[in-house]
Amino acid sequence: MHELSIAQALLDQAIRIASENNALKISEIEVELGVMRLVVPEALEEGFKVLSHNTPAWNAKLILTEVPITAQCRQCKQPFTADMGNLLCPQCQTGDVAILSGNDIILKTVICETTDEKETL
Amino acid sequence: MKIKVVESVFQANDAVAGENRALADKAGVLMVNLMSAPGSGKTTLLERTLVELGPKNCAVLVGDLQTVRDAERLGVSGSQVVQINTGRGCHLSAAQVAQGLSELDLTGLSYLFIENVGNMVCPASFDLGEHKRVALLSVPEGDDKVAKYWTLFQGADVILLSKIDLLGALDFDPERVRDDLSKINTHAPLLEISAKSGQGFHNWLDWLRKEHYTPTE
Repeated sequence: MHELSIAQALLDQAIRIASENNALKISEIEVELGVMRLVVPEALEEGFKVLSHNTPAWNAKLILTEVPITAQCRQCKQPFTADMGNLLCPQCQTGDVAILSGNDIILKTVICETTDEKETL
Repeated sequence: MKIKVVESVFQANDAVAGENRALADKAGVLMVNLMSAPGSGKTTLLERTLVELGPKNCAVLVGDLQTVRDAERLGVSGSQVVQINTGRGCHLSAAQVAQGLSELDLTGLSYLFIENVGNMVCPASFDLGEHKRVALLSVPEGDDKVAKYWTLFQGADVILLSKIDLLGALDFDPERVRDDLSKINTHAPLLEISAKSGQGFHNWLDWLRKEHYTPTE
Protein backbone atom coordinates (compact mmCIF):
# COMPACT_ATOMS: atom_id res chain seq x y z
CA MET A 1 0.00 0.00 0.00
CA HIS A 2 2.75 2.43 -0.97
CA GLU A 3 0.10 4.17 -3.08
CA LEU A 4 -0.70 6.45 -0.14
CA SER A 5 2.90 7.73 0.04
CA ILE A 6 2.92 8.20 -3.71
CA ALA A 7 -0.45 10.00 -3.60
CA GLN A 8 0.93 12.37 -0.95
CA ALA A 9 4.05 13.09 -3.00
CA LEU A 10 1.93 13.68 -6.10
CA LEU A 11 -0.41 15.99 -4.22
CA ASP A 12 2.47 18.03 -2.75
CA GLN A 13 4.06 18.30 -6.16
CA ALA A 14 0.83 19.37 -7.93
CA ILE A 15 0.03 21.97 -5.25
CA ARG A 16 3.55 23.39 -5.47
CA ILE A 17 3.29 23.70 -9.24
CA ALA A 18 -0.17 25.27 -9.02
CA SER A 19 1.09 27.75 -6.44
CA GLU A 20 4.11 28.68 -8.58
CA ASN A 21 1.66 29.49 -11.36
CA ASN A 22 -0.71 31.50 -9.12
CA ALA A 23 -3.47 28.97 -9.64
CA LEU A 24 -6.48 28.71 -7.36
CA LYS A 25 -7.61 25.25 -8.22
CA ILE A 26 -6.27 22.11 -9.86
CA SER A 27 -8.71 20.43 -12.20
CA GLU A 28 -6.67 17.66 -13.82
CA ILE A 29 -3.38 15.85 -13.23
CA GLU A 30 -1.78 13.58 -15.78
CA VAL A 31 0.56 10.88 -14.47
CA GLU A 32 2.56 8.09 -16.08
CA LEU A 33 2.81 4.97 -13.95
CA GLY A 34 5.76 2.73 -14.71
CA VAL A 35 4.52 -0.81 -14.18
CA MET A 36 7.65 -1.79 -12.22
CA ARG A 37 6.53 0.51 -9.39
CA LEU A 38 3.62 -1.88 -8.79
CA VAL A 39 1.03 0.84 -8.24
CA VAL A 40 -2.62 -0.16 -8.24
CA PRO A 41 -4.29 2.77 -10.07
CA GLU A 42 -7.53 2.51 -8.08
CA ALA A 43 -5.61 2.60 -4.79
CA LEU A 44 -3.68 5.68 -5.94
CA GLU A 45 -6.92 7.40 -6.94
CA GLU A 46 -8.54 6.56 -3.64
CA GLY A 47 -5.53 7.75 -1.64
CA PHE A 48 -5.36 10.96 -3.63
CA LYS A 49 -9.03 11.63 -3.08
CA VAL A 50 -8.70 11.26 0.69
CA LEU A 51 -5.52 13.31 0.96
CA SER A 52 -6.65 16.12 -1.34
CA HIS A 53 -9.63 17.03 0.82
CA ASN A 54 -9.50 20.76 1.69
CA THR A 55 -6.68 21.41 -0.77
CA PRO A 56 -6.68 23.12 -4.21
CA ALA A 57 -6.56 19.63 -5.75
CA TRP A 58 -9.91 18.50 -4.30
CA ASN A 59 -12.00 16.90 -7.06
CA ALA A 60 -9.10 17.03 -9.51
CA LYS A 61 -9.30 14.35 -12.15
CA LEU A 62 -6.35 11.96 -12.25
CA ILE A 63 -5.41 10.71 -15.72
CA LEU A 64 -3.26 7.64 -15.09
CA THR A 65 -1.45 5.92 -17.92
CA GLU A 66 0.52 2.75 -17.34
CA VAL A 67 3.95 2.61 -18.97
CA PRO A 68 5.26 -0.83 -19.92
CA ILE A 69 8.84 -1.93 -19.35
CA THR A 70 11.30 -1.21 -22.11
CA ALA A 71 14.83 -2.47 -21.69
CA GLN A 72 18.05 -2.52 -23.66
CA CYS A 73 20.26 -5.58 -23.87
CA ARG A 74 23.84 -4.80 -22.81
CA GLN A 75 25.14 -7.47 -25.20
CA CYS A 76 23.42 -6.76 -28.51
CA LYS A 77 22.19 -3.24 -27.59
CA GLN A 78 18.73 -4.14 -28.88
CA PRO A 79 15.89 -2.28 -27.12
CA PHE A 80 12.78 -4.35 -26.47
CA THR A 81 9.54 -4.42 -24.52
CA ALA A 82 9.90 -6.72 -21.52
CA ASP A 83 7.36 -8.71 -19.56
CA MET A 84 6.85 -8.42 -15.82
CA GLY A 85 9.33 -10.76 -14.13
CA ASN A 86 11.17 -11.61 -17.32
CA LEU A 87 13.69 -9.14 -18.67
CA LEU A 88 15.45 -11.61 -20.95
CA CYS A 89 16.61 -10.14 -24.24
CA PRO A 90 14.62 -11.88 -27.01
CA GLN A 91 17.77 -12.07 -29.18
CA CYS A 92 20.48 -13.13 -26.71
CA GLN A 93 18.36 -14.68 -23.94
CA THR A 94 20.38 -12.77 -21.35
CA GLY A 95 19.02 -10.88 -18.38
CA ASP A 96 21.92 -8.41 -18.51
CA VAL A 97 19.80 -5.45 -19.53
CA ALA A 98 19.30 -1.78 -18.71
CA ILE A 99 15.79 -0.57 -17.93
CA LEU A 100 14.87 2.33 -20.21
CA SER A 101 11.31 2.99 -19.05
CA GLY A 102 8.56 1.56 -16.89
CA ASN A 103 10.44 2.11 -13.63
CA ASP A 104 9.33 5.60 -12.59
CA ILE A 105 6.20 7.57 -11.88
CA ILE A 106 6.12 10.85 -13.74
CA LEU A 107 3.88 13.85 -13.23
CA LYS A 108 3.35 14.96 -16.82
CA THR A 109 0.90 17.86 -16.72
CA VAL A 110 -1.24 19.83 -14.33
CA ILE A 111 -4.32 21.66 -15.52
CA CYS A 112 -5.33 24.44 -13.19
CA GLU A 113 -7.45 27.53 -12.93
CA THR A 114 -5.59 30.81 -12.46
CA THR A 115 -6.79 34.06 -10.92
CA ASP A 116 -7.01 35.65 -14.37
CA GLU A 117 -9.10 32.81 -15.75
CA LYS A 118 -11.41 33.03 -12.76
CA GLU A 119 -12.01 36.73 -13.39
CA THR A 120 -12.95 36.14 -17.00
CA LEU A 121 -15.40 33.38 -16.17
CA MET B 1 -4.08 26.61 -17.89
CA LYS B 2 -2.17 23.46 -18.82
CA ILE B 3 1.26 23.25 -17.23
CA LYS B 4 3.77 20.79 -18.63
CA VAL B 5 5.77 19.34 -15.75
CA VAL B 6 7.53 16.00 -16.45
CA GLU B 7 8.96 15.41 -12.98
CA SER B 8 9.33 12.17 -11.09
CA VAL B 9 6.87 11.84 -8.24
CA PHE B 10 9.80 10.48 -6.22
CA GLN B 11 11.73 13.73 -6.69
CA ALA B 12 11.19 15.03 -3.14
CA ASN B 13 12.08 11.68 -1.56
CA ASP B 14 15.10 11.29 -3.83
CA ALA B 15 16.40 14.74 -2.91
CA VAL B 16 16.42 13.82 0.78
CA ALA B 17 17.95 10.44 -0.09
CA GLY B 18 20.76 12.29 -1.84
CA GLU B 19 21.39 14.33 1.31
CA ASN B 20 21.47 11.14 3.40
CA ARG B 21 23.98 9.58 1.01
CA ALA B 22 26.16 12.71 1.08
CA LEU B 23 26.17 12.60 4.88
CA ALA B 24 27.26 8.96 4.86
CA ASP B 25 29.87 9.65 2.18
CA LYS B 26 31.34 12.46 4.25
CA ALA B 27 31.58 10.18 7.27
CA GLY B 28 33.04 7.31 5.21
CA VAL B 29 30.12 5.06 6.10
CA LEU B 30 28.72 2.36 3.82
CA MET B 31 24.93 2.59 4.04
CA VAL B 32 23.14 -0.67 3.33
CA ASN B 33 19.36 -1.06 2.89
CA LEU B 34 18.07 -4.52 3.89
CA MET B 35 14.75 -5.49 2.36
CA SER B 36 12.68 -8.63 2.57
CA ALA B 37 9.42 -10.16 3.75
CA PRO B 38 8.76 -10.11 7.49
CA GLY B 39 10.41 -13.07 9.18
CA SER B 40 13.09 -13.76 6.60
CA GLY B 41 15.84 -13.16 9.13
CA LYS B 42 16.94 -9.53 8.74
CA THR B 43 17.34 -8.95 12.47
CA THR B 44 19.07 -12.27 13.10
CA LEU B 45 21.40 -11.53 10.19
CA LEU B 46 22.26 -8.18 11.74
CA GLU B 47 22.73 -9.59 15.25
CA ARG B 48 25.54 -11.77 13.94
CA THR B 49 26.86 -9.17 11.48
CA LEU B 50 27.29 -6.51 14.18
CA VAL B 51 29.32 -8.89 16.33
CA GLU B 52 31.45 -10.12 13.42
CA LEU B 53 32.24 -6.63 12.08
CA GLY B 54 32.66 -5.11 15.51
CA PRO B 55 29.71 -3.41 17.20
CA LYS B 56 31.41 -0.04 17.37
CA ASN B 57 32.00 -0.06 13.60
CA CYS B 58 28.28 -0.44 12.95
CA ALA B 59 24.98 1.31 13.54
CA VAL B 60 21.45 0.30 12.66
CA LEU B 61 18.26 2.14 11.78
CA VAL B 62 15.46 -0.37 12.13
CA GLY B 63 11.98 0.17 10.72
CA ASP B 64 8.85 -1.53 11.96
CA LEU B 65 5.21 -0.56 12.16
CA GLN B 66 5.18 -1.07 15.92
CA THR B 67 7.36 -2.10 18.90
CA VAL B 68 11.00 -1.54 19.78
CA ARG B 69 11.69 -5.27 19.94
CA ASP B 70 14.19 -5.31 17.08
CA ALA B 71 16.07 -2.33 18.49
CA GLU B 72 16.26 -4.10 21.84
CA ARG B 73 17.63 -7.25 20.22
CA LEU B 74 20.21 -5.37 18.16
CA GLY B 75 21.17 -3.05 21.00
CA VAL B 76 22.53 -6.02 22.97
CA SER B 77 25.58 -5.94 20.67
CA GLY B 78 26.56 -2.48 21.89
CA SER B 79 26.04 -0.88 18.46
CA GLN B 80 24.09 2.35 18.13
CA VAL B 81 20.53 1.43 17.18
CA VAL B 82 17.58 3.69 16.40
CA GLN B 83 14.10 2.23 16.06
CA ILE B 84 11.82 3.95 13.55
CA ASN B 85 8.15 3.14 14.02
CA THR B 86 6.22 3.85 10.85
CA GLY B 87 2.76 3.35 12.39
CA ARG B 88 0.72 2.54 9.30
CA GLY B 89 3.58 3.03 6.85
CA CYS B 90 4.58 -0.07 4.93
CA HIS B 91 8.09 1.14 4.05
CA LEU B 92 10.75 3.58 5.20
CA SER B 93 11.11 6.95 3.48
CA ALA B 94 14.24 9.03 2.99
CA ALA B 95 12.86 11.62 5.46
CA GLN B 96 12.47 8.98 8.17
CA VAL B 97 16.05 7.85 7.58
CA ALA B 98 17.22 11.48 7.75
CA GLN B 99 15.55 11.77 11.13
CA GLY B 100 17.18 8.53 12.27
CA LEU B 101 20.57 9.68 11.02
CA SER B 102 20.28 12.85 13.11
CA GLU B 103 20.10 10.66 16.19
CA LEU B 104 23.32 8.77 15.38
CA ASP B 105 26.94 9.70 15.88
CA LEU B 106 28.57 8.62 12.62
CA THR B 107 32.09 9.29 13.88
CA GLY B 108 34.23 6.19 13.60
CA LEU B 109 31.51 4.11 11.94
CA SER B 110 32.15 1.99 8.87
CA TYR B 111 28.72 0.48 8.30
CA LEU B 112 25.19 1.74 8.69
CA PHE B 113 22.49 -0.86 8.19
CA ILE B 114 18.92 0.15 7.49
CA GLU B 115 16.56 -2.68 8.30
CA ASN B 116 13.53 -1.77 6.23
CA VAL B 117 9.95 -2.63 7.14
CA GLY B 118 9.24 -6.27 6.31
CA ASN B 119 7.47 -6.07 2.95
CA MET B 120 8.39 -7.40 -0.49
CA VAL B 121 6.69 -4.70 -2.57
CA CYS B 122 6.70 -1.17 -1.20
CA PRO B 123 10.27 -0.62 0.15
CA ALA B 124 11.79 -1.26 -3.28
CA SER B 125 10.29 1.98 -4.65
CA PHE B 126 11.95 4.34 -2.17
CA ASP B 127 15.59 5.38 -2.27
CA LEU B 128 16.72 6.01 1.29
CA GLY B 129 20.20 7.23 0.39
CA GLU B 130 21.75 3.78 0.67
CA HIS B 131 24.87 2.85 -1.26
CA LYS B 132 23.82 -0.76 -1.61
CA ARG B 133 20.57 -2.70 -1.57
CA VAL B 134 20.35 -6.15 -0.07
CA ALA B 135 17.36 -8.43 -0.68
CA LEU B 136 16.85 -11.44 1.58
CA LEU B 137 14.90 -14.57 0.79
CA SER B 138 14.66 -17.26 3.43
CA VAL B 139 14.26 -20.95 2.74
CA PRO B 140 10.91 -21.26 4.62
CA GLU B 141 9.33 -18.64 2.34
CA GLY B 142 9.55 -20.93 -0.66
CA ASP B 143 11.60 -20.94 -3.85
CA ASP B 144 8.99 -19.09 -5.95
CA LYS B 145 9.36 -15.68 -4.34
CA VAL B 146 11.85 -14.19 -6.79
CA ALA B 147 9.38 -14.78 -9.61
CA LYS B 148 6.45 -13.46 -7.59
CA TYR B 149 8.06 -10.38 -6.05
CA TRP B 150 10.64 -9.78 -8.71
CA THR B 151 11.02 -5.98 -8.48
CA LEU B 152 12.57 -6.32 -5.01
CA PHE B 153 15.24 -8.64 -6.37
CA GLN B 154 15.70 -6.79 -9.67
CA GLY B 155 17.07 -3.72 -7.91
CA ALA B 156 19.26 -5.54 -5.39
CA ASP B 157 23.06 -5.37 -5.35
CA VAL B 158 23.33 -8.66 -3.49
CA ILE B 159 20.77 -11.34 -2.70
CA LEU B 160 21.00 -13.42 0.45
CA LEU B 161 19.38 -16.81 0.56
CA SER B 162 19.01 -17.07 4.32
CA LYS B 163 18.26 -19.90 6.77
CA ILE B 164 20.02 -22.45 4.55
CA ASP B 165 20.42 -24.66 7.62
CA LEU B 166 16.77 -25.57 6.86
CA LEU B 167 17.44 -26.64 3.26
CA GLY B 168 17.34 -30.36 4.06
CA ALA B 169 14.13 -30.07 6.06
CA LEU B 170 12.07 -28.12 3.54
CA ASP B 171 11.13 -28.54 -0.07
CA PHE B 172 13.20 -25.72 -1.55
CA ASP B 173 15.14 -25.75 -4.79
CA PRO B 174 17.92 -23.11 -4.93
CA GLU B 175 18.24 -23.77 -8.67
CA ARG B 176 14.75 -22.41 -9.18
CA VAL B 177 15.81 -19.19 -7.45
CA ARG B 178 18.92 -18.93 -9.63
CA ASP B 179 16.87 -19.51 -12.76
CA ASP B 180 14.34 -16.80 -11.84
CA LEU B 181 17.15 -14.39 -10.96
CA SER B 182 18.84 -14.98 -14.30
CA LYS B 183 15.79 -13.39 -15.98
CA ILE B 184 15.85 -10.17 -13.98
CA ASN B 185 19.22 -9.52 -12.35
CA THR B 186 22.52 -10.86 -13.60
CA HIS B 187 24.87 -8.58 -11.65
CA ALA B 188 23.89 -9.31 -8.01
CA PRO B 189 25.62 -12.30 -6.41
CA LEU B 190 23.40 -14.84 -4.65
CA LEU B 191 24.96 -15.72 -1.31
CA GLU B 192 23.67 -18.72 0.61
CA ILE B 193 23.95 -18.15 4.34
CA SER B 194 22.74 -19.15 7.75
CA ALA B 195 23.03 -16.58 10.52
CA LYS B 196 22.21 -19.35 12.98
CA SER B 197 24.81 -21.95 12.02
CA GLY B 198 27.26 -19.52 10.44
CA GLN B 199 27.26 -21.48 7.19
CA GLY B 200 28.33 -19.24 4.30
CA PHE B 201 28.33 -16.22 6.57
CA HIS B 202 31.90 -15.24 5.69
CA ASN B 203 30.75 -14.62 2.08
CA TRP B 204 28.36 -11.94 3.33
CA LEU B 205 31.04 -10.38 5.52
CA ASP B 206 33.54 -10.46 2.66
CA TRP B 207 31.00 -8.77 0.39
CA LEU B 208 30.42 -6.01 2.95
CA ARG B 209 34.13 -5.44 3.46
CA LYS B 210 34.69 -5.26 -0.28
CA GLU B 211 31.86 -2.77 -0.74
CA HIS B 212 32.88 -0.58 2.17
CA TYR B 213 33.03 2.95 1.03
CA THR B 214 36.51 4.44 1.14
CA PRO B 215 36.49 8.23 1.12
CA THR B 216 38.62 9.77 -1.61
CA GLU B 217 41.27 12.16 -0.43
